[in-house]
Amino acid sequence: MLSRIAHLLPLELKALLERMPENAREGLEEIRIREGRPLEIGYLGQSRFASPDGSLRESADGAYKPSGDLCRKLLEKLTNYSLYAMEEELRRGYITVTGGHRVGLAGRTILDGGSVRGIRDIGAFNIRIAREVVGSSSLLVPKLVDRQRQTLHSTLILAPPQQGKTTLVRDMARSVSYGLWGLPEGAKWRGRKVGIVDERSEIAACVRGVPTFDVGPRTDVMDACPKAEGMMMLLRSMSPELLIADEIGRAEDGEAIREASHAGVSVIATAHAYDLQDARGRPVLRSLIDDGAFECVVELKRTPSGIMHRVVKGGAASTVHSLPGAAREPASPVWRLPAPEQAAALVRMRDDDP
Amino acid sequence: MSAIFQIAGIGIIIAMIHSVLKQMGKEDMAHWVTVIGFVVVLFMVVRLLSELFQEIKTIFLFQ
Amino acid sequence: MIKLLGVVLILFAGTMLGFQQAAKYAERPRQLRQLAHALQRLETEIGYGHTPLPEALKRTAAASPEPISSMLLSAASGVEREEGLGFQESWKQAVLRHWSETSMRGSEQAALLRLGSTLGISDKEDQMKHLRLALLQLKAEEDAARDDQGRYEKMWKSLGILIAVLIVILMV
Repeated sequence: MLSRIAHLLPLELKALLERMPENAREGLEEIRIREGRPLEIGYLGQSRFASPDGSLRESADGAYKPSGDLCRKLLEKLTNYSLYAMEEELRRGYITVTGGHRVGLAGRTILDGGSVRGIRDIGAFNIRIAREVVGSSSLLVPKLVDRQRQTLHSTLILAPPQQGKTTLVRDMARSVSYGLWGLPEGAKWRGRKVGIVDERSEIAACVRGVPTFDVGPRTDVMDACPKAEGMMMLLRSMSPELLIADEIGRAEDGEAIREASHAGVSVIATAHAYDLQDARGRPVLRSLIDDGAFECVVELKRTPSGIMHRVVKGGAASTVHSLPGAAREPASPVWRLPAPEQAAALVRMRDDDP
Repeated sequence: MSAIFQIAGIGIIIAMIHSVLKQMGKEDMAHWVTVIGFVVVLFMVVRLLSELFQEIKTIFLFQ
Repeated sequence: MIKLLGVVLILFAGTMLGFQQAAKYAERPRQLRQLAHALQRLETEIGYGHTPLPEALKRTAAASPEPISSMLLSAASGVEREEGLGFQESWKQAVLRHWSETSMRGSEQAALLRLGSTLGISDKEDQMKHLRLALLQLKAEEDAARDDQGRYEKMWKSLGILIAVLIVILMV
């Protein structure tokens, strides 16, 4: 993992990181560089401070503290010596570099009439190493297949942060685009046209408009575009058959999803929520679910043995499934969509037939 | 004869250099050049004069 | 016969030396103007083109005459060449290395080095400000250099000839 971002780091930092133990190097997830403060490394779900000799400790005493000069060199490398060319990135507060990795920035901002225009002095970097897990959706996709339309049902995926939603959704895009439905009868079906609205450049990690990750041959990506607008633009110009948006929650996102549904386009959306009940506590999500904009709802949870998901179909009983190697979750209350919506969901399916 | 031409020539050149330098605003350098030129010419004249006196001595003392 | 040849040789040498010195005085304002043009082009690339710095420097170098061209190319390739070399050091090295090929002097070198420490590490407005500051400094130097040129160019030409004549007279 370290080797994938080594080219971004200044020499002395690279040398220090290479002195880390092997498991940290391989499982590296995050590097937090704060000027004049201890260097923090995130790997395998945990977080430690790094000392100059490469050892990782829980206490911050004696940790390596990056100097201002190091931060400057890092910034130079990240921006290719051209900070002025990254105005948009500074306004959003992160830079996506080749390879799909995101570097979050923190520091003193410049305001323009009350809203943030950019960051003047960058004092901290958070390098998040991107990992592509091909096949992470292979167990989930078959359950979401709409056999009649030979595509996926509109699905809402719920999970708390850092559960792997983005990795999953990326793989779903890839699978649908290639036509890998995971079902025997799906072998003859073609891949579908996919449109991704990648507001935070996390799903496809586009660099200069070209995706870094493999999102499929029939996929178009709107990079760094607000979700609602992006969905409308894709609907108008790219005629997608499946739209994918990450972390919906605002009223306009809901509107755009309804538009897409009316146009007969399936929508796969993710949202921050612990479970369906938690999601129903948010007005926008509740109204989308109640209006039947989504035929399926998926809950994700990260457990020590893997990421488990639970699919709730309109009217179906809850079924518990998990990714490779996981144990079955103990029986939990059955989630059902309330009866009127159930009927509405079935009606929706017929409306959407070509 | 040529000595006189030499002295005259040096004099003219030094004067020209002096004026060029003065025009450039480097008055002190101009004066230095003039002084050095004067010294050189002085040496030449003194040499010639000493030759002259030798000649005179030779002529008058041989008689 | 040989004497005549010697005389001609000395006169020629003196005149040439004088002219060479004069040429230096003529060259300086011209190079300052060329440098100013290069910086203006860089300003356009950065401000309107959002071109990455190494690329912007290479394009500017392609449109500039020597020795400014090689100086800019050195600065751009310095960071690619050496691992761990920040842009500021690369710029400094390039300026110092190619300076003897120019007829420019200390004050503009200082202005250029100051500029090098600000390029690429601030936002667009800041970059424009620093570039304009450098341009102003260069303009001031250029005006002073033109004055100098007016005064000293002729002087050295005359001086060269005169000293040569002086030596001839002394020798002959």
